Amino acid sequence: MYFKVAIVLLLVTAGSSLAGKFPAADEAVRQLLPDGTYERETLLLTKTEQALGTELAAKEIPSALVTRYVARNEEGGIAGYAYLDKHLVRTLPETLMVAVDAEGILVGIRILAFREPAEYMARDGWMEQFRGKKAEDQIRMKKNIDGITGATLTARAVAQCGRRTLAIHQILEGRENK
Amino acid sequence: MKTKLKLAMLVASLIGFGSAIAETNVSADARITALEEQLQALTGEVEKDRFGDVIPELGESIYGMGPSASKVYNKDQGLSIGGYGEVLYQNYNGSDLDKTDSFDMLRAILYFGYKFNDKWVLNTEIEFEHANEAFVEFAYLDYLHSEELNFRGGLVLLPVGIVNELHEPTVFLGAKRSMLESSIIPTTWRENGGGIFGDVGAASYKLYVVNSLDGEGFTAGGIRGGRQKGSKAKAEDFSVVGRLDYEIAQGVTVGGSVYGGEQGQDMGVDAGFVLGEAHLMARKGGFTFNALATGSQLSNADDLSDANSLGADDYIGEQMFGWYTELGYDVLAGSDKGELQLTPYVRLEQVDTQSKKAEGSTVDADLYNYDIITVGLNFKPIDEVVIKLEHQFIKNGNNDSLDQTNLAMGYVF
Repeated sequence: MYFKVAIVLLLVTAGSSLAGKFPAADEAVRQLLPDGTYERETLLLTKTEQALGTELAAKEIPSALVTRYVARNEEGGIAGYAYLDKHLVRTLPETLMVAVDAEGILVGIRILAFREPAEYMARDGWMEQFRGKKAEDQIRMKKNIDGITGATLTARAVAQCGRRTLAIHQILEGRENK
Repeated sequence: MKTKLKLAMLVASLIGFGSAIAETNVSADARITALEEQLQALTGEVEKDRFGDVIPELGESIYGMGPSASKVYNKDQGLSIGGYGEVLYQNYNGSDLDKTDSFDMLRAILYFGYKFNDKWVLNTEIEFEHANEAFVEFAYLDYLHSEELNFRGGLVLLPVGIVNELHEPTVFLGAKRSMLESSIIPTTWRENGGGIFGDVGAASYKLYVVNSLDGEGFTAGGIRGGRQKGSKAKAEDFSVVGRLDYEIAQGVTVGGSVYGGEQGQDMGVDAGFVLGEAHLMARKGGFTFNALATGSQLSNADDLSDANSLGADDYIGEQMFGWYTELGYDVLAGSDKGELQLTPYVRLEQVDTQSKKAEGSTVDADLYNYDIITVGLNFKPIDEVVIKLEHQFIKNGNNDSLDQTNLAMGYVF
């Protein structure tokens, strides 16, 4: 009986539209920084900047390559930046987009790709607690971020990504103010 | 005249030198431009490799490769490998009973997952228990349809209790799992079946139909012996199991589950069984708090006991009841000690597999209810490795002391 119900449900829903689970990068930028226009840019950190970032993030900055979207408001001023970051969770990677506003305050995180089993994925609700964090807050699990039951490694990976992104952002801002 | 000539020659040579400088500048500019282009191409290649799957327009333009060709860069391998394990040393020196101390490679598990595409995913765990018994702990196929509705079928973990689905040693606090989630909820509980699962807002649910337990394995101590573990399981009777969890606040989840169905299988006994459970899990700062309460009801426990040739003093209980709460605090949570975690914890627990005896039962119920206080230390040098030391004060209804000390080491990767 229950199998029949399940099979009918399967057939009914398989016919409905199969929306992708994750937004593409350009769609995610629009969700996180909704105003104005945006363009993608690629920057390279110097060895010195990478070392400084490692100090700020309390964890190695693994790559000199920074990919981000610059969002501009209608007057052409900076509305914010959305950084792409790919890192390992357990044995497989996830790709996150971390957005900061013009003041360097984290405004949101989106999952763009997740290769580990779906059970380990961080929920949007959980990632809300990163909102409002700045580089000075020194994001750290348990200190200012609560864990996820059963997905310790995912929580850690997201927290490290958040802290790393804010560190990189701070360095790039310093570079522009020189 | 001579001076004029010299001057003219000097001017001419200066002009020539100047133009030579200009030429050098031009070629340096060209080289810088070329270098910039090469650098752009190089970073583009790295970027394509890293983010090609999330930036759709990559690979189209400047690097001279069409989008379809660049797809090769974007394809992540579908195979996922992981695992975990735990070793447990149990010492009964504080106990009234004459039990032999043991040191066991409790379990070593290899996880294999394969993502055929974004919709079809396989999850398996191959388990070696006590170093020499092999099991497939679970093996199921998921069809991922949407956040709200997904399908699962195969050998599945029953979504009952806290530890059954989250049974990796780095996740739970204690060196030994709670007695409740062994005697009443028979963790690790897995059977063949399938169903649906998903998230709706802050709620998540699971609803499966699985082959029932085999009532032939039920005893006065509980239903644990009824697990069929997916091996040639008797499928005369099926049961339904459903679970609902709700995140009431950041880091705080409440939920419950119900399992119910006939468990008589081929025995010709009408053994209707329902097990319900409610739980709360909280992770706040350095705090870990879990609470679980469970109860069950078995109809015709006397008939089933007779069919199992159990004497009246060994009858299966009609009802079981148990609860526990546990609290841990990571004393290094506020410090900057990297991944180091040191969590003292305490668990209070009551377990009773004969909270209501079957009709005609002469079981000494005092021997089947336990009060347990567990105090311990959970140490994680890194997130993936844990060492746990605990002492358990265990008393049954007869006031026998069954204390034990446990030392465990676990890992996950």
